[in-house]
Amino acid sequence: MTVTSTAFRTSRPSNLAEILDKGIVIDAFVRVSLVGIELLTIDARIVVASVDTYLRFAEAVNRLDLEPDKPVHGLPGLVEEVTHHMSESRTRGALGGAKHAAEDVMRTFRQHKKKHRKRQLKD
Amino acid sequence: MAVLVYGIVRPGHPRRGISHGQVHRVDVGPVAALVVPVDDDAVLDDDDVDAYLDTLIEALPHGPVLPVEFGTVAPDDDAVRAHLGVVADVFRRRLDDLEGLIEVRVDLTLDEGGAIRRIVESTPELERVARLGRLPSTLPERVALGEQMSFALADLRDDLGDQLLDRVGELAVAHALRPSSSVTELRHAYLIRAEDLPAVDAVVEAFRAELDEGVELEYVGPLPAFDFTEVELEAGPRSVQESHRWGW
Repeated sequence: MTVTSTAFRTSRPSNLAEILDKGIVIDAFVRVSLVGIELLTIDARIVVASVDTYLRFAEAVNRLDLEPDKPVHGLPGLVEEVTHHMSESRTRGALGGAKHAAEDVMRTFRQHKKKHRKRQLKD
Repeated sequence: MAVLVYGIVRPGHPRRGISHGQVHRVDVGPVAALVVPVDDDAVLDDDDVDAYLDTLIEALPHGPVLPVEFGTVAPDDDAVRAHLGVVADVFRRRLDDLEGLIEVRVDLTLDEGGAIRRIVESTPELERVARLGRLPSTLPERVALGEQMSFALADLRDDLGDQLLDRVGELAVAHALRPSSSVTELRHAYLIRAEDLPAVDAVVEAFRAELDEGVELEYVGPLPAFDFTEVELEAGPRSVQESHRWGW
């Protein structure tokens, strides 16, 4: 078997810690830990983003350098609509999924605006 | 003297190309172990990890290599013989399964800021929220917004992963998802035939060329089958088999 390297394929992983819990386990022998490295066990079936992470993402949305829009009436409820719809519309797929979510959210936004106008007419 | 056990190979596996001079082979019937002497009160450090990985990678061109978990220490060569003698057939079958196969890893990392911008700009209602120039006023609303962004990031990441799997999977014998600690990271491992490495290189390179600026790709290999030591491989003609290590 002859193997050659390429310019963009490296021969060793950048994070060596990843291989420390791999390989055949031979229970008959002793396992000596690597000094100074704590082996973290990650349950990859559940990747839980902490509340801090969620807040960091929300901050990132806020920091985007977008021109402020005109005030929209009823906007406090809009955040709830957005989050409700994104949770309903979650499908696998990058922009495709996001676009479908966006279309659903737009429908909700129009309905929201209609309800708001109806409330205004009634008042 | 105690020995660090690096990996299991076939008896007679050549030592040439292995740079660490103290590595030697302990042959036991149909299998052998690559081992290196170590002090009885050994304290292992990063240099030992380097030596372990280098040895296994350097051994790979000469035959199948079954990596043993790093840090495995046997009292001496005789203990290695005694234990391997009991499990030799199991390891022999595993080595046969891995004949001609190597592991490659493809890791994707999304630039968080860039990915969030991309999601916001493609979702009109999120864009409206962003244009407010201020965060939602209550903590639950901010957490909810961030949570939904986390879901969107996961969808974006997973879509890229699906695209990668669609392409490389056609050339792979098995595939495994490796754990990651962030929603912006995706870690794949593929078990491929060594002779298919140039073709896989071409597929991964083409995939990388299509990625947006904000996505980093790390491509590593060839490696011993670290992520496939326990995967059932089908005998007979090559077939693509998904092997989700963590049951996804």
